[in-house]
Amino acid sequence: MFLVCLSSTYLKTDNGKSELDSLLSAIACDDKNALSKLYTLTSAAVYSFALSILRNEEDAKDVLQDTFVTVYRQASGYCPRGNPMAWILTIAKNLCLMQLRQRKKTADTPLEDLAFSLAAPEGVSTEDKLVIEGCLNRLTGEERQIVILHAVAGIKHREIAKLLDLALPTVLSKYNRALKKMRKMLN
Amino acid sequence: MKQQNTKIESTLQGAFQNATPDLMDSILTECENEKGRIITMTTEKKFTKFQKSIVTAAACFAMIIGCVAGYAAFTSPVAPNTPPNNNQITSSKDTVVATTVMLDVNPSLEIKANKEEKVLDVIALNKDAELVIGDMQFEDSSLEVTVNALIDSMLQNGFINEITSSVLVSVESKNEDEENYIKDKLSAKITAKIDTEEIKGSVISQTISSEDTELAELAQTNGISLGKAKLIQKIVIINPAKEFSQYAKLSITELNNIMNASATEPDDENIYIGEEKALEIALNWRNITLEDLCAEPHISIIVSRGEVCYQIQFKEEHIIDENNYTSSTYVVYVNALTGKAPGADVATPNFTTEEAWTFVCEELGANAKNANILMKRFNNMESSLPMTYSFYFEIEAKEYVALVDAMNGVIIRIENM
Repeated sequence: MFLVCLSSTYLKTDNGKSELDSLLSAIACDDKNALSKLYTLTSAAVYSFALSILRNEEDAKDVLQDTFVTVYRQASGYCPRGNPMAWILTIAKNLCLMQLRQRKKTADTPLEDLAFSLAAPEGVSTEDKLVIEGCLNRLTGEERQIVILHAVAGIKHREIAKLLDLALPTVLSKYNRALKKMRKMLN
Repeated sequence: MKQQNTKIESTLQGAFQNATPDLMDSILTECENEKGRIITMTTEKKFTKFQKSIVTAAACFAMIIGCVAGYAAFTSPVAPNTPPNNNQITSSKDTVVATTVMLDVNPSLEIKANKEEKVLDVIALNKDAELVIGDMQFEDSSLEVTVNALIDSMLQNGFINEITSSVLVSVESKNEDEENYIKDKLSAKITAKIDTEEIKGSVISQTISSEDTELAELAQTNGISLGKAKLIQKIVIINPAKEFSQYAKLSITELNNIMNASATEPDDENIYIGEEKALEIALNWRNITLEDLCAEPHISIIVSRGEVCYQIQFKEEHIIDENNYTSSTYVVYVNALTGKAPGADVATPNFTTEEAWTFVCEELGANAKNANILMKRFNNMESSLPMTYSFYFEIEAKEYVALVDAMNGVIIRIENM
């Protein structure tokens, strides 16, 4: 499938949000094309968010798949109020937390403590690899989640605060600090 | 600075988009498997003979106790004229106010109910309302029955008639869905009630919040209900011909007529100064231009202290050096008719001193545990600089100063003195 990912700028707009609402309504009526289009528009946001929490590609892929299956299953229960992207990411977050709980039972060394290295699939340049690894290794847990939610998923800071259960000023300051770290790393 | 941030965001976005795998086929397969999945019902647990006999014995025992207790209560002597013990009635009743309904016609009253919509209290807010309530007792009645009875009383006492036929219903509840549900339900009931009297009435309904202290103050100053104050607040915006206090003297019917007559938005060019002018006035107050803002300003029209005002919120960026910038948020109120700026609120700091110090410690890392604070200060003296916290501290006999932006927590600098 040819991936055409719209920028996070589009997802922030009213047109972007109403398109997501329409797609969710169509998915509730078992429209697989709508599910496919939703995936195209939002998979990067979901995958990067899952990666920011789990820091493991295979686990993040599992969450990516499970998120969209859950969206398909629960689309009929979605109420078009607020931000549909935030709804999808809440599902992803809960799936990530389940993964983390499962991991605690089985892993000796928490994966969060190990350095992350991207397997560099086809289509990922060396520069992309460095950026992603830098983001996931140099930033703290909350910093990378906030940066990814804002920069990749197009979520507003206020919505990020609600999603991560943080105070808004905390989100703003961590975001600024995260970007500062990224700036130093990229320079 | 902003351009650099935008570039970083784009870089991150592009990198993650390229790295996202295509799992659509697996997802579609799993979705197909979801269909036709058989859910096994659990088998009903059967009781053993022994369990059945225990249950039967317990039931018989309970019946016997119930009969004995009932007989004892029936035959025990009761003192004459014993008043009902309200405590016995209310001991299991929920007395927490979950919903407040205000009815305004000219009589103005307030009904408080619990989450089961059982009435806890009905309060008259003016003399006419006292006449409406009369000797009626509403405690434990349902909200609907109470509203029905009160509207009936208003009809019988002539407060609702062919001339004064508008009723204002204002609802406050802890839950927005509940608020709208009750508001719509009561509006329909009142409309139906008035229709039976062959009066062409109209019911205006709205939700309110008692946490709006400014509105509460306006209501109290003018001797009206919160609901009526909110209605007048809306009217003042669309028809500023009269002052708030003048509108407060009118009946709901008169207010409704004014609202219907002023149904279209006023022409800002003729009445209000306009958003652009209001923004210009607000920025002039700070001696800055649009270029100095780091975000889109927010402009809305509100009623503040009885005046129609533009509320302009903007964020001013301050460049410290090429690596650091901070910002301050301001909220300015400009009179929509005269363009006078009654005042401005400078945002209060978003962090306490302790929180700001934790940001410094994060920056110091392992050295933080050896830091000994000599002095800490909040700086808000110069209007041209943002609010900051400054800390003077020492680590291993060396003195340092740290400066933290009080709005966004950014460390402006940490340096050796």
